[in-house]
Order: sequence, then C-alpha cells, then structure tokens
Amino acid sequence: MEIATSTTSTADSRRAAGEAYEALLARLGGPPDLLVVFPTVGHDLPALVAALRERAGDVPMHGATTCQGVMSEAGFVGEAGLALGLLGIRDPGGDYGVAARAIGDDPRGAGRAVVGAAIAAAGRDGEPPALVWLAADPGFEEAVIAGIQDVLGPDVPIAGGSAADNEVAGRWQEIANGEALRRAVVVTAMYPSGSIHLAFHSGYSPSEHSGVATRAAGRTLYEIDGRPAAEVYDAWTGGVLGDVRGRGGNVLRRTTLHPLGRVAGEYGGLPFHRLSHPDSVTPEGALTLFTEIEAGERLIQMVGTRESLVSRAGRVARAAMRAGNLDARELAGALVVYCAGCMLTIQREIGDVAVELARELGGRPFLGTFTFGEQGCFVNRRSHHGNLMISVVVFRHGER
Amino acid sequence: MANADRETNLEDRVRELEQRLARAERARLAAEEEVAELRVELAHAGERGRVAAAHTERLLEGLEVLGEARDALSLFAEVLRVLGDVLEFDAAFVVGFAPEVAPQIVSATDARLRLIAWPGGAFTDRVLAGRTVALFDLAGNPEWRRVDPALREAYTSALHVPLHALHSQAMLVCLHRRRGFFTADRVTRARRFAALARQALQTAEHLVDLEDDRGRAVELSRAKSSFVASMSHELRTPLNAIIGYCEHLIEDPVAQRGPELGETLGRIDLSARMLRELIGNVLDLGKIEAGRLDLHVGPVAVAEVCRLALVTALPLAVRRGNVIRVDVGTGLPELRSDAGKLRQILVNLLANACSFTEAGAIDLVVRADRRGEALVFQVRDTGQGLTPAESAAVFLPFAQAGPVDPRRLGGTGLGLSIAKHFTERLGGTIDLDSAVGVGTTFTVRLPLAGPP
Repeated sequence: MEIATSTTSTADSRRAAGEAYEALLARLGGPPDLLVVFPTVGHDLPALVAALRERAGDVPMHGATTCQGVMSEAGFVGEAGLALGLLGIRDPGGDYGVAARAIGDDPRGAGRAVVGAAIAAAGRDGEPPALVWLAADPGFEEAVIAGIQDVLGPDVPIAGGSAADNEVAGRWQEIANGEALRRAVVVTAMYPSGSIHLAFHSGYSPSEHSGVATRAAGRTLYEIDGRPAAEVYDAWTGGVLGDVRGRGGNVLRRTTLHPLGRVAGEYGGLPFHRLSHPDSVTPEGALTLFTEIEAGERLIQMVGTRESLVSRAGRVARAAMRAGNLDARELAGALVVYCAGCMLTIQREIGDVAVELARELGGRPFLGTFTFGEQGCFVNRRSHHGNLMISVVVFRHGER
Repeated sequence: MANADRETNLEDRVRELEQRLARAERARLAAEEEVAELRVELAHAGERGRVAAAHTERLLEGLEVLGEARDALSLFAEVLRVLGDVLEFDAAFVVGFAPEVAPQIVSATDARLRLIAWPGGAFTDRVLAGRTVALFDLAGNPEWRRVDPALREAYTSALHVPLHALHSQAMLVCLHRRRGFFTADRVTRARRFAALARQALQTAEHLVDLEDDRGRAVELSRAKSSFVASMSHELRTPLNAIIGYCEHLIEDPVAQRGPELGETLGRIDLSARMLRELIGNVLDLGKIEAGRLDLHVGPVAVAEVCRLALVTALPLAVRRGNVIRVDVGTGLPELRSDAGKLRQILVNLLANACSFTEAGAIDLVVRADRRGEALVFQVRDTGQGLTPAESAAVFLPFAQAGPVDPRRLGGTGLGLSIAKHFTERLGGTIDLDSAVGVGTTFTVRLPLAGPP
C-alpha cells in the first residue's frame, strides 16, 4: 500500500485539479485505487470534479468541502480561503468502494443504503469493511451513523468529517465518484491490504460545572436544570455569550474553548468525552448545537485552551500510531479530520498544527480537512459523531 | 509625581502578574487535558496489554497441545478451544471436505451445530482457496441461507477460515450473536492462528504418514522374513523330491528298468515344474519392483491361452481333488495384449483357487463386456472364501489369507500380487468378490485395444 498527497492554492478549478492530480500521480508511482478530495467551497466543484474524472477515470472518489483550507505533510494551504487537497491510496491488494445517497427525509435510511452500496462497489458483498469513511452534510450525522450500524453492527469503525464551508453559510458539498452533490452522504468501504488504526479525541477538560438537559429536541437545547440553556451556559463560562444572549445570533467562535461535553465511555473509571459545540443562541434563550442532544443527558462544561488546540492534533496522531504499535517506517499515511471551529480559533497557528502532525507521523503523507462535525472511534471501539474533535486514521503498509 | 510613578509601576506589575496567572492557568488546563487523555490511553493500553498477554498465554498453551496432536480431530477440537478465548466467538465448528463426499461437521463447540448440513458452493470454494472471510450478517449469504434456519438463527455474524493441510481440507467457522462482530482485527487474529493450526495439522499428518510408512515397512519386513522361511522350505521340498528320486534311480538298478520308472520320472517332472513356477514368480516380482517389466503386445488367441493355463494349473488341482472347467464364449472380439502375461495371470488365479479349495469346482469363464470394450476373465471357486479384511490384503505381496500352511497350500503369497501388477500393466482391472464358506470370484477386465 502506498499513499501520497498533493495540495494546491491555484484558483482555477480545472487547473487546480490537473496540477494536484499530476503531482499525486508522480508521488504515488501510478494511478490510485482510492482518491480522497478536499476542496474549499470557493472552487467550481462540478468543473473540478469533472477535471479529476477526466484524469483519474473510474477510480473511486470520495470527498467533501473543507473550511478555509487543507493541511498536509507540506503544511497548511488556504490562506485566502481557497485550496484543494488530494490523497491517493495505491493498493492493488485492497478493495475500496465509494457510494453516495441523498439524505432526504430519512438520514438513517440513507446511512443503511449508502453503506450497502459502498460495500457492493468494493466487490465485497456481506463482508465488514476495515473502516467506513464518512462524509455528510452537517446536521444528520447521528442518524446516518445509526443507519450504517443497522447494517454493520456497532463494532466496525466509522470515521470521517462533515462537509464544511468557509462561513457556515450552508454552501458545503460532497463528492462521490465524479459527482458534486448537495445534502448527500458519501461513504467509502475500505478493505485495505494493510491494517488501519484510529484515534478520536476531544482534548478538552471537564470544568466543575455540569447539569442535566431538561428540555431538548434534535439539535436544540432549551433548558439545563430547568432554566434557559443560554443563561446557564453563560453563567458557567463567565459570560462568553455576552450581548448575543439577549438578542440571539451566531456564537460559534465565542464558544470554541467552552463546549458542552457528555461522557462517551470510560476506562478504569476514567471518563472520556464527546463534545457539542454551541453555534447559536435563539432569542428565547436556547442554544443550538452541532450535535443532537436528548433530555435527561448530563452535560458538562468543558474547558480548552488555544495552546491545546495547536498541540492536540499531534497527540491524537501519536495515539493512533500507538493504537497500532506503529513506528513511522511502517506507516503508509494518514487521514486527519480537524474541527473547523478549532481551526478558526487558532487560524494564525494552524501551520504549527500541520508541523506537529508531520513530526508525529514521521514525515509520512497525510491530508487534513477542516470540518463542521467529526466522526471517529473511541478507545472503547465505539464510533460516534462529535464536535471540536480530532479524528486520525493511520494506514499501515502491511497487516499487523 | 513619585507617587504617580509608583502607582503606574504597581499597575504594570499587577497586569504582568495577571498575564502570568492567565498563562499559568492555560498551561494548567492544557496539562490537565493531556493528563486526562493520557490516563485514558494508559488505562486502555494496560487493558490491551492484559488482553494481549492472556491471548498470548492461551495461544502458547494451545500451540503446545496442537504440537502434540496426532490426528486432525483432536487438533480441530483444540483449535476451537483456543480460538474461543482469543476471538470471543459464541460458537464455532469445523467443516471437513473430502472428494465425492458431502461436507461433514467434524468438530463443534455445540452439539447442535453438528447437525448442520453444510451446502458448499462458490463462497466455500473461495474460503478453501485460502481467503479468510467475515460476514456481518450470515443470513445474507446464499450458502448460509441453505442451512437449516433452526440451526443458524441464533447467530448473526460469521467468520470463515481455511484450514487445509497435506491430505485434508477443512474450514473453521466462528459464529457470534452480534451483527458485524468479526472486524478486521479479529479476522487478522484468526488468520494468524489458523496459519499455526495449519502447520500443526500438517505436522500431525506428516507424523501419521511416517507412522503408517513405518507400520507398512515393519509389516513388509515381517512378511518378507516369513516369505524367506516359507520360500526356503518351498524350494527345498521339490528339490529334495528331485534329489531323492534321482538318488533312488541311480542307486537302484531295478528301479531304472522297473515298471515304476515312468511314475518316478513323472514325480521328478512335477517337482521340477513346481520349482520353475516358484522361481518364475519370484523373478516376475523382482522385475515388477524394479520397474523392468517388458510387454509383448499383439493379437491374443484367448482360447489357447486358457488351455495352456489349465494345463499348468491342472496338477495342483488334481492334488487338491478339484475340478477345473473352462468356458470361453463364442465370437469373442479380438484382444490385443501380452499373451504370456495373460497366461501368467490366469495360472496364478487358478493356482490360488486350487490352494483355497478342496474337492471343489473351479470355473474359468471368458466373455466380452457389455460395452464391447474389454474381455472379462472370471475365476470362481467354491473354496473357504475370504473375510473383508483378508480381501483387502489379498493383493499385497507376501500376504496370504489366514493362518496358512504354505506346505499344504503350495503357495508363496506372490501370485495374486503379480496378477494384479500384470493386469494393471496391461491397462486392465482386477476385482474380487468373496464370501466366507461360499467361495471367491476374481474378475479381470482387459481392454481390447491393449495397454495405453
């Protein structure tokens, strides 16, 4: 198995696709068996995808738009909010199948259908993939994951990231096999010849503040401990909502270092958390989140720092390597999903994140996308959707 | 002024300290966050280490037992026991495959699974070709759908591992109630252990082969010793008779001219012929074993060959009070073969029939087979017959049925073995049908066209 990446900030979409694909081919030593595509929304996606299709032919293609840019072993690309990143896997001994479905009114049904189609496209009917790699419109990830797990059960790891745009303006898109899509879910069923190892971390610490969601519906949290959620949250965080609390509005950047957490599992009594990122306050004092929430769930106010947002990605990559007892020589490459909210908070230092990742991955190829929702597999082998998370998948040359 | 400066300095100092405090707080939070992550990872690594150690210990124990296993069944049982701990399956079984026989469940963790009639098919063929395959839902697989639902419905996911060795082909099937339980890491674990199990299986088969070879060698050596003892007696008997009669003729002038001279010469002639027959058989066997058997193929005068065989076997038949009847069908098609070897086959079969029959009837019948492709020679006797075990060993060299007395029967135990070798060299087959107390029929089929 060989992995290579290429990135470009070329503005012309067809030219960008051509340049990036030719560079990828040269590094890979031949055509890929899977092509992962992360463009920013500033690109003309149909033109970009068509140009890739012209060059790559029928190679399975999986992609989603990324927020502001991409990062790779060569660093961050996207200073002007425009970038394209490609990752190619050349693995004649493996099987890869990509499929897409419209989310429509039944995201769970779409999850069921898309994973079955991806497995069939890989030519491995009935066999559980080593990894389900996911990209979907933000807003339906839990249901999509539930649909995938209806088919595969809870043990098959699921990882990936939700499509994103540059300004939370709903311009995000997905890519599957030469098509640019909207309101879709894209899945790759991976059966690599080598092994795959994952890590999925929140990287935030619990504060002393916690309460129970007493009223919630979908992705809206109305009350905590019987009081308006925004009021309670604002008190916990020392007033980060500021004047937005009274009038309502976007609070995405204000809340990045103060997400709400839920215990996702524990090891030896030590809990680990998945996070929910409050993105807006309603005039009525409710919080909207990038994850679903249910009444009765215990919420913990988590605390993060800019410093940890910079260093954390490297640590997650190290954890993924440790999960497979890998050293860099055994590593073919990696896929990194980094929360767009975190990236926007530390935007000037995002280059340092790429450097840290490259160092931890021993300079091996990796491609990172910035997403509006992250999916990954915790140490208890259970896959979840979360916010403000980092998900790293490392690919080993051979089987371990 | 001095007070104002002092106040400014103090304010700067407070700001500086506040900034330091904020940095310290951020550093504390970052450290706390990393510590929390590392604690979870440490606990997980510890858990993985404990599991890996338990698996390793279990595998080593299992390998010890596998190394000592001397047959496939005990080995399969141990494979299931070890993998039960390592793969955490709910149930498992091993399907054995053999040519022209339906697949059999040869080992299982649950007695009910032994009732599965494994259908086989393209999926099974793929596994037997060397691929380990997991299914997240076995009900979706066409071969599993042909398994009795009452036996499979308790399980959802399955893992199929090839377990082929030198002589045996088998498939390990692990089952779990949870959908998609057999993930890539479990598949890898199963594949690695199966490689060790296959090695152990091959070793066990090698050992069994060696034991068999040793047993055969010991048996052959014993038979050869017994043959040499019987042979020296057999050679001595006619030789002694020839020498005795010759001395009698040399020393007794009356006997040289008396009326019994013809009878004495006849006895010398019979003993000499027996001796020649015996030496001929030994030489034939020697040629067969050395692979130096020459064939002289041409049209065969079947009736004449049968007559010559009858003439050769008749003295032995008379000695045992038997009658030999020859029935050669009319209008037989032409047979191309080696007439000398055919005669020898018939002589050996008739001699064998005479040896095991006393005061009975022996028939030599020749017919064309129904498809017109071969001639069929049958030698039937009304002798003591053979048990199934004796029938199975009858064509082995130096084997003779039962506790025989070669002096009484006059055989060396080589005749049937030679007949079988000759028949097969001529492109034919030889079979026998026997019942104790009823008699034995040997059937030789020779292709009309001759040996290939």
